Amino acid sequence: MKTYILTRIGLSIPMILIILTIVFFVLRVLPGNPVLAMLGPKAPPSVVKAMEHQMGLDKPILVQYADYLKDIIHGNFGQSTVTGMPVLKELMQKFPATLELTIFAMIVAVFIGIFYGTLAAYKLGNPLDVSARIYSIFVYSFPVFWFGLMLQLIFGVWLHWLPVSGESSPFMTPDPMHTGLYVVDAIINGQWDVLKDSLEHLILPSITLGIVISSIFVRMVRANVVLTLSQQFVTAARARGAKEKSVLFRHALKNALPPILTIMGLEFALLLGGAVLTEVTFSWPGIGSYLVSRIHARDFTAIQGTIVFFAIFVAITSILVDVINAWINPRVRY
Amino acid sequence: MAVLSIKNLFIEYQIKSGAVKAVEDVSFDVEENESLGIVGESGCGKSTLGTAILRLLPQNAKITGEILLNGVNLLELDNESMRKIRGKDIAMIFQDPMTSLNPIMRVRDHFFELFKVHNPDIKKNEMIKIASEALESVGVDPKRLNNYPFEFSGGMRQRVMIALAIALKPKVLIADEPTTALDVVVQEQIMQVLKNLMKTKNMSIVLITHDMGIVAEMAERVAVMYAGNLVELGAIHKLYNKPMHPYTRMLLESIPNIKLDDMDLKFIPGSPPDLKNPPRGCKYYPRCPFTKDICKKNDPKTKKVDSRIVKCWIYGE
Amino acid sequence: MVKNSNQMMSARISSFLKDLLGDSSGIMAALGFVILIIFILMAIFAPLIAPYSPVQPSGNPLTAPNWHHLMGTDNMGYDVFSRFIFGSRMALIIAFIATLIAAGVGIPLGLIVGYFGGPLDRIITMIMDSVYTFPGLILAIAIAAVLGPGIINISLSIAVVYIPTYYRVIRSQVASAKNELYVESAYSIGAKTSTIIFKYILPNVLPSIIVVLSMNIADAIMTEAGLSFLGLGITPPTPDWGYDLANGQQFLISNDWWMAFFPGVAIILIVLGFSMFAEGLNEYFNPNIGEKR
Repeated sequence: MKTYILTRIGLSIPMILIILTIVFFVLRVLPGNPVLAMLGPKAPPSVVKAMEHQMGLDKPILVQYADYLKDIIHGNFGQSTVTGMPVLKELMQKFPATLELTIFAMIVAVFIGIFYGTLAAYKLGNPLDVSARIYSIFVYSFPVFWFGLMLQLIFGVWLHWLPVSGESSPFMTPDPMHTGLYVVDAIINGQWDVLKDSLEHLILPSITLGIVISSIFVRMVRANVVLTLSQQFVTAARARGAKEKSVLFRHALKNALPPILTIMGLEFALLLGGAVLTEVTFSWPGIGSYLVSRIHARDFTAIQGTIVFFAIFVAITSILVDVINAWINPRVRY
Repeated sequence: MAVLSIKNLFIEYQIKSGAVKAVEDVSFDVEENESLGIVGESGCGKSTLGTAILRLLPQNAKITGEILLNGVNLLELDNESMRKIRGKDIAMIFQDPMTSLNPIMRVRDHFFELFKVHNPDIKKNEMIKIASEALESVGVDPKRLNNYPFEFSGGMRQRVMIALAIALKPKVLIADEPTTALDVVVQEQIMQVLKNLMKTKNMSIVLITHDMGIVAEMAERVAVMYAGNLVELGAIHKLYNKPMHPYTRMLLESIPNIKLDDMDLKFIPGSPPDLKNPPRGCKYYPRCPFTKDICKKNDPKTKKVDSRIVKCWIYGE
Repeated sequence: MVKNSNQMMSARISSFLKDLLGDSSGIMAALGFVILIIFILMAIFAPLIAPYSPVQPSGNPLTAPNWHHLMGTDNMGYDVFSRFIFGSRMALIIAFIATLIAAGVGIPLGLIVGYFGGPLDRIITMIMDSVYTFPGLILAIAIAAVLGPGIINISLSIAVVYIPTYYRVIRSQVASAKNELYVESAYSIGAKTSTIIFKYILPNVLPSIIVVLSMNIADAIMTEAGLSFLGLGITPPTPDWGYDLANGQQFLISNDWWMAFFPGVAIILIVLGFSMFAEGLNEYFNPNIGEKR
């Protein structure tokens, strides 16, 4: 298992390198001078030159590329041109909020996907199955920000049940912070009012993102469970008197999990894209909101750092997915 | 006394373009400790019949008639009572051992599942003891309980399947083509395992196969099926020495026999009928060398002819 | 001879339609197709259909839906319904251009690389896979941030994200088609490489191309809407659903819901149209036992 994990990490290094390279060339080589974009087109040439020199943009492109890689390996994502703070430090401050949102959205999506998809596969052709297929194709076409706004309208504006923006109410942050995840920290501290407040803020964004992503999970779980349900070992389990619940979940679903997990891992990228939109919709103070606000401020160091950060996040998730897969599926493990 | 008794069983598959009559008016008894073979070409309904006994057919199958286990009609039981019979009173082994075991469960857990389903209070020690005995009786080292299915060969997996099937000492074992997917040497080993079991265990076996040779080796009585109908049933040597139904005769002649001078392989011309629109009259008449006019008009009735059952107009009205 | 082949063609089309409509997948494809046609017509004839100009105030700001303004007016007094209709132009134009670019790069690359294989295949596939696993919207955001607003720039940002989709589908299909007997036999009688690729392999992968294309337009529309929602798309006041939605967000709290609601409905319908069309075709071209039944 240990060698497996190490190999898997080794395999993802070229992947990260490629993304880093693409990000570098997109941001440096594409038309559009970041300095001009930052200072505005009317900036005097001498100021532009000085700025370019300060940012190392007057060096040959390959030297810049080498410097860029070296910096990233050393954990140096550069200084924000807006705040002057190290970008990595800013990102680490924003990251827990994004992590919290994606984890809860994932829980919602996996829950709906597994149950709805498995039951639809079990009741193949029945109204429940038809409803699952309609659900998945219909919800798939929901723009996540529109769906978020509609939920805000219903549960915030009309019903006044839930807050529609931010991660917490004023003075309702966990104190002291341990992980940066409000829900977790509130539990650690035993601050139940803070926990309630955090959960209330978390419900709408995570349900918005979770439901939209669940559309893909439902159809994928359904398709894979349909396949395993038709296998001989399922009939054999029934022939031994296994209960239907166990036939469905322990035999059919569990065998369908490896492909499901692999696809869920791939869809995690989609989830992150959706998270950016959800964060902006709900003024959620995560990396997505950070990225968008820095784009409007033309802070290219921060933009580049954020993309790199996302790349590493995606790579780590995909490693995690594979490790979980190996843990479920003995054939991979051995 | 009959342990299992099938009476006037009809099975139809409802599909988009109509109904497929897979089994038509089949009746027979399985006696205690008897081994009964069911033979026929693929698609003749023999596997459907075997699976129907455990009520494991897909949803679109419609079953009518009676399946009596010690006098209790299984078709009238609710799902929960039926579930408790599976694996305990009637067990089944399947054609393809490569796919019959759950690939991500250890062999041990297959046994544990079986035991717990039928006795929730069973202790772990006891489960290991019974499982080990069952494995030993089919020639598998009990140490292999901790292995996953992919660590076994096909023949070994089929042994494990048999061990699972017999672990709770069922009254009836349904073996659906248990050796078909295996190579010849392994086939022989599995047949040997089944034969030993028959001697030592108190159990009836329903052996479903297309292989006349295997039936000859294993079964005491044979039922021959054609296009969903039971065309002949009788004791093995009588049936082999003097087949009554023309189909049985052709089936026996099509077994290659290297001892005979006649090296030509006989085969039955034509192919089985489309069960969506079967021919009127006897299902076999289009391929039968003895077809009379009546065969084309009416389906023959099932008749008893000196302790045998046959369904053919040759034997009179 | 000509007549004969015509007859065959029409027979084939009618059996195709019969197959298509006789099944739920066919109904789905047909329904999707109808939605698409409606939106395309709407985009073409927008000035004739829209009651008002989409960029001129035509009533009091923030009027709720009524008979004069079916979907109300926005904060500038523009008619939301007219912007709904004109918005289809931006969505379709950008989605089509982006898809054309992505397909125009991805398909030939997949064909050639898949056919020749070798180390180049491994390198390009690895690059494509890396891009594919990276969150598409975030990549598009980054590129759009550098390129700035504008139809071509936005289309390019979206196109880059979807090149790997075409590349992967085509490459894997070509790699497997290459080993088919009829391709091998064409090769053995000395057919030219270009002949083999375009005459034997391309027709074979065409069904998947159509499905991916249609699916991809749906995704591209969604991505475009996302970019404009974030303020990275088209410069206002050009009618654009994503931008209008973002604009409507600030008025949601005062219950002026129509500004955000209707552009979203437009996006849902058009995406639904393309994905139903793709889905139906996909089931028709690749019938899967488990899926169909």
